[in-house]
Amino acid sequence: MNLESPETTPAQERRLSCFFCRELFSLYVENKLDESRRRQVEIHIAKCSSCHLLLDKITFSQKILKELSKTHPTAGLIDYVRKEQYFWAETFNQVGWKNWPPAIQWATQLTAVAVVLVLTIHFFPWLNVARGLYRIQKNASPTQVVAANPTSVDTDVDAPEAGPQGQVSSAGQGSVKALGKTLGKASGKAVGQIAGQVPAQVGAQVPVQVAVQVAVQASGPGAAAGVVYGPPVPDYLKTTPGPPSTVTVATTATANTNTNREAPKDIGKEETSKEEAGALGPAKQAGFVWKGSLKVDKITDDLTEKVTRTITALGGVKAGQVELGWHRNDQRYYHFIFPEDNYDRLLSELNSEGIVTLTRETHPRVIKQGHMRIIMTIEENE
Amino acid sequence: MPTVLTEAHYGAVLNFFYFLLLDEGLALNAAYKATKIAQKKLVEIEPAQADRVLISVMSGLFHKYKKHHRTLHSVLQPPKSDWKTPNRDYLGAWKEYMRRSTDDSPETLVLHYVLNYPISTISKGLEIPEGTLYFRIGRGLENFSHGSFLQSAPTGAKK
Repeated sequence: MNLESPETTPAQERRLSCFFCRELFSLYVENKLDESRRRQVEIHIAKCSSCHLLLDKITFSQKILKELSKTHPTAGLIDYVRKEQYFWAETFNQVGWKNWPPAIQWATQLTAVAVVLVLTIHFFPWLNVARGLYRIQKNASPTQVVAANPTSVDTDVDAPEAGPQGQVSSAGQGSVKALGKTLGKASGKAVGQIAGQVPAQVGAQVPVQVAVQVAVQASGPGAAAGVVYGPPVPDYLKTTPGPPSTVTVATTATANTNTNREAPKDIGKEETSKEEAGALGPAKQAGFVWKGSLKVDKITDDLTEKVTRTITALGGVKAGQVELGWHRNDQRYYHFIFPEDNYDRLLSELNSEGIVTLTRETHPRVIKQGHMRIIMTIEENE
Repeated sequence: MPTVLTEAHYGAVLNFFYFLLLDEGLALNAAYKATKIAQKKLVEIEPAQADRVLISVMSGLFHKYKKHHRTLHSVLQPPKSDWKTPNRDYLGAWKEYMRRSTDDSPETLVLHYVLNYPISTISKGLEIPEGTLYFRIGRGLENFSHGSFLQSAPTGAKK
């Protein structure tokens, strides 16, 4: 760059204008002007006070800027820039976290903690933890523990149900109804027995002995809960606070034995209907039903057959209108009456196939003593 | 032989962004990025070219960060600074000038006076003719001298 003017003699020197002189100030303070130009500028500022004042200020500005060059960052800052920063440190650096006001920093941190807590509470499997703790406390095998929430168990109240004993004559129903009402009014636990000579029609009107035991359990803490763990123990039959009232009623029933039933004729005898029990109120719904499922890895026809054989071999009898192992969507449906004495054996047999979960629930229908009504489905694990 | 950034280089980069962005957080962030970019570029460049590359990188990043500093520097000034300044009044005069300035003069002033880079090196780094740089220096110094601090400063001018 040629910033120097051509050689001039003093005679040729011209006076600079203020504008042109100020344009040369930057070169003047940098000592980049040749001698003749420099002399021209000095001559001008000697005569022009405003340009002289401006040059003084520019020189002072230059001095200030050179003084600012002594500014230096701390060693920690240089180390920070030198080192390789990682994701979070760089993120905080990018958002200028250090420079945020403390109040905003606190608010942000509190918000982050709150969000983490809410997400943890919402998504953490608390129910599984509670179940695990319960198993530890009870020291029971997993197959004997059932869901604490009865609503989680598959209920099948819509399935068609009918007593395996066939039809009971109206006279007999009326007697049972009267008995139910009588026992329902009794305080505490009342056990009634109905025994009578019933002329039943078995093909050709064969009289059969029908002995019906009605166990009515009035409202109590155990009955209201409806959930039992482990094998069923009919405590209400064993421990009776007061003397059981036994009623003997002579009734007449017509049993239709034309079907191919192999079950005892008195199993699953309905003592009270749903409507009647509803009229009596929830506290007087004295029967029970075991509902639940058998969870297996895969449902096969062999498995269905095996379970059906196991149930029937242990004395189980189909209840309701559908056969044992009825295909209901992806499930297999079992509704049967089962002897209580064989319940442990049934559980052990089913446990070999999968995880059994059975829950006892109150139900208006009362089953004969020593038997239990089970509604179970076979389901595949999710 | 690859060029390695020295401590003087790091200090220069930090000062460059500190004076031009007027925000320590942004300056730190920009300096970190600039040094990382420069380190990659300096691998294949001779040591004599280090200043030119560094000026080029700093200038490019400064123009990206320029839009931030005018909105943030007024509220995000930390009470305790990590930069040691010999005279706080001079720094105040510089900040006042930065608020008034609307052209590219501050960048040239910082490179030449604060970081002490010669005009020829700045010219190569910014790829701008030296005459343009002198023009910017003249305009910048004149504008800087119009500040309130300079107005009250004693001078030897004749009335």
